[in-house]
Amino acid sequence: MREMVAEVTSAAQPATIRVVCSRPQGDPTRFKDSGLSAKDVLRRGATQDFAKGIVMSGSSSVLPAADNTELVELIRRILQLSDGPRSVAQIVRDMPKSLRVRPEVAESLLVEEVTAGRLYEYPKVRNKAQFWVRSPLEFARSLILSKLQGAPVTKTDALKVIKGKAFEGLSKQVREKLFDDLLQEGALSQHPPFIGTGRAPKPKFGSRRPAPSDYLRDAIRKVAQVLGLSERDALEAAVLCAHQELRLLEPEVQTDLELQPKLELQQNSQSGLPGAAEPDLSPMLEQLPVSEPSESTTEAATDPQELLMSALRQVNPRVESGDMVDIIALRSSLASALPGAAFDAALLKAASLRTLAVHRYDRPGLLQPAERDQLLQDEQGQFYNTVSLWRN
Amino acid sequence: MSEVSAGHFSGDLQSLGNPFRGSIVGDPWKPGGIDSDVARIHKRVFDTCCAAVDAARSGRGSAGVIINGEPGSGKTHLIARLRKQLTEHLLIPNLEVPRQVFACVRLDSCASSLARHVRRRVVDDLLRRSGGPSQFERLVVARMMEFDNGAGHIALWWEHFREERTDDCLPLLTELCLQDSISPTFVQVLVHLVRQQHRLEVMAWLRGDPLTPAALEKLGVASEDPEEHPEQLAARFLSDLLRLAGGNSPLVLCFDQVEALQQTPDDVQSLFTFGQLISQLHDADNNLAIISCMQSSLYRDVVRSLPAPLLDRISGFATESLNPLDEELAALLLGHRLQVAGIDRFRPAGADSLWPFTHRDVAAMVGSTGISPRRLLEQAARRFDQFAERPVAAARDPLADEWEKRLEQAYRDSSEQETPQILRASIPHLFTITHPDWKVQLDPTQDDLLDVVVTAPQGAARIGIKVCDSSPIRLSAQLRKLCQRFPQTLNVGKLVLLRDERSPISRTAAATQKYLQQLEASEAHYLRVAPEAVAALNALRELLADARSGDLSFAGGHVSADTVIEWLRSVMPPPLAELAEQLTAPATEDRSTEDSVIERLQESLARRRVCAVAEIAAELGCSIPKLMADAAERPDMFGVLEGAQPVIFSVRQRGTMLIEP
Repeated sequence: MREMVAEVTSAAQPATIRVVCSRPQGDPTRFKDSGLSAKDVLRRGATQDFAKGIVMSGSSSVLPAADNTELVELIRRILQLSDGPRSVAQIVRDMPKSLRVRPEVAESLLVEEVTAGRLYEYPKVRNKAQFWVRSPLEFARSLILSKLQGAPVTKTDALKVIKGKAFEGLSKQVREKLFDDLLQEGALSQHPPFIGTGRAPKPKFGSRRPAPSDYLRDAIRKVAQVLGLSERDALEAAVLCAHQELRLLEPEVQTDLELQPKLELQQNSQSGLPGAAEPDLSPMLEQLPVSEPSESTTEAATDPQELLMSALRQVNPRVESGDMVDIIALRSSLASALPGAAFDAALLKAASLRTLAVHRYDRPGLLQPAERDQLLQDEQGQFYNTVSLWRN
Repeated sequence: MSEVSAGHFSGDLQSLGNPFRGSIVGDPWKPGGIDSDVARIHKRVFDTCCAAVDAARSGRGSAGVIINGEPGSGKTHLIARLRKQLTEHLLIPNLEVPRQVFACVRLDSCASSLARHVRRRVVDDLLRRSGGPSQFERLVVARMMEFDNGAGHIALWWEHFREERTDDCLPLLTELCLQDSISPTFVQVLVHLVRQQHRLEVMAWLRGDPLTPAALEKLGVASEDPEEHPEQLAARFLSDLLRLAGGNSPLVLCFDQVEALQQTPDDVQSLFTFGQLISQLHDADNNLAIISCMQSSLYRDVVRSLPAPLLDRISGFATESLNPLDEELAALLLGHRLQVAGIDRFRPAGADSLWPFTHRDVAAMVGSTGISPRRLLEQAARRFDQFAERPVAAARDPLADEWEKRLEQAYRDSSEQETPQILRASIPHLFTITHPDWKVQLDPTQDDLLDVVVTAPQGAARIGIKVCDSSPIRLSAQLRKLCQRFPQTLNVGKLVLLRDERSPISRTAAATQKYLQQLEASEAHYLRVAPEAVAALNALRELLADARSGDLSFAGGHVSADTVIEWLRSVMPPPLAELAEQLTAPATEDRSTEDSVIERLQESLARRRVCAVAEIAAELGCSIPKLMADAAERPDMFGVLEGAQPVIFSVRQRGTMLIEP
């Protein structure tokens, strides 16, 4: 084995580099005037030799400028794909083997990028510098929003999510201001306490706007407790009440829901409500949320189609680029906003409007009944297990 | 919109073949398989696949794409479209630098032999000839030219090279080996490939088929290390192939029917093994474009069973779904099919391109949630038959017809080289049918010692099944390891060794024979599988794979794997029933001396086909009456011509019956 030194001058790229690598034999001049780009030579000779300890000289940087750009792009892509800051070792480990460089090479590039303001350096973890494409403030913002996608929490609880080492540089004032800004922008909403809550509790916040259904559900539960009813009986009463109120507001709702024939047919209801005999309203419990909400009674944020689209993106952010969403996961994320048949109706409607595509599931027999019930089923009894944006 | 009735033209339409039949694209390489392609359907997903190939070519790293879709949504059709796009240049006999190499792997295999299956299918695709040199040849020549600094047109360079410098093949490929860390053995075989020498042996080596010592000597390579797991060897070959492809020609690997890998619907281990193999290939080089097509019903299992890094390698570039067709695309597809079929000759004046259908028909077929292309074509086919007033064919059992067709095909394609792979992949399916309450484990020891272990309910029986390798050297090593472990530490009550009946163990393989005798002395059961059983198992494997992938449908209805399993249980083809019985029979039965004589007789006749009975009896050391009696018991294997000097002959040649028994 002898050492080969090749000077490579690329016609396409005006960079000149010196490559010193171990080769059994070879004519150094064969690279010269070969018409090959510096990248080609690096790929065939030098990249393989990275692992063997290639030494490149003649430049303050390890690679020529043209190839630094590609390496930097690679590092940026790795960091873009990561869900938080990464150490140099982690970044190098994520590189494809054939493009992997020594950690000190990667670190020098990272420092250059940080200096140029294109990457961010985070406080060290276990004495190792951390880097990412997003600033600590952006990171904190996304963590808070992510936390508040679930059940509403207090401000203190929300800010706990940004107490890690990565946020050492953010003072308490900055964190508080970040939260207040989110509130100002409308990215967060304050959720008033449920009706009938005794002393004023600490306000809670969530990324969703307060859903009337959450408050109604809580109120119905309380009514059931006060009157000593089962929750089902209280719910049935609420449906009946809602129906009567809606009839007063918009008489056509009755026709849409086809409630009247059912009321007439089911006069022998076993409802436990005091007073007049009430019909069995369980079909209506399923049907009521299916009806088209009128502008006067429903806020924009609770429009089922909007809720679906928003939940899709939350459950799987890659849905925009063609990925699917598991219907069971989607149903679960909308459990409070679109319960039961309301979810099914909204999803089937989205499919008929060609905004969402639902995908058939041909093995329902393999599922447990509880799991099967979580899938979407259409009028023909066909099951669907995934949904994606309708784009052909 | 045309509402012209088709009723007056039904007689004419009868003379036109139904343009909507035969909608399933089974083989992406089938010429004319996508003649009626409508480019607008799934265009976005197709563009994503092309972008993934471009990304891999541009050196930005390997790209993985998952394509999800319900049965019949056009996954295989999309692969066929991509195949056409990426390999059309192969029709031109001129040698050109390949922009990429393309292979499609249908995963009708099992996880324990996945890498071997992928290796075989990839090599088959790379060696296909569609007019000019194969992809493999183009690739190797292009890399050689690259290393020779050959400027100009590759065809001219190659012409000059072949005429003047064929001796430089080895040095150039050696340099390739050194620079790209490719195995020297692989390079040695490539030398023969580009020189077009020993083509059969080269093909067998590349596919991973067993080679005789003479064939290995021809190629000038050593046999593979029998101690190394064959899956590792296959995975290493694939990594070498990726490095051979280099950065300028990415390897495009399309995996179809990923769900067919699953032994049972809840088998997530197979998906994990698939993810691991992809990850291994992903790490080998950065020039890989992986496109994995799977049913949307598998989506949840894939997301749940694969750790994030593995999932990222499979779907890092994109995850796409094949959406149902809306009215517009459905009309486009129907119109295109009608046009290709020549409906213009029948269409009345004033009718539009959909005739004899109306837009109302299309809307009814599409329904509120859209429709998959296959279901649309099936419905259209039925409707078209109604328009043409075609008599409905007498009801037959479509599964029985399909089974017969596949069995016949499997028997025709039968090769003993494929038998180990078929046995490994289909024995678990066989137990699903014959012993549904038994538990099946694949490669439980993870060291190639056993292929399948089946356990009866409550542990009443535990049977280890080893598929004997076709390679004599590897088989000897496998049996030696089994001798060391069975019965003491193997934790099975019965050990069954399976081998294709057409590949008898040679008498000259002394070590193998010795280990086999030792194992049989320990009550291991050596079972020679008849070609009929191998063919039935292969048909079973393919039928189930298609059913699992939603690619099996009759008269507009998708046939599920459960239906196929139930049907097979009800009819239970005799070769399968017999094999299952032999596998589960109590362990006390010894290998009969008849078996031994038959095997030796078979081995002897493999060399000369016909022989005097007296001569062969002397050779085998048994009496003439016994030999004739034993042979008479197997009319499917031997024939005897009686007379003053009776002769015995083999009735089979490479699995084909020469004479019906």
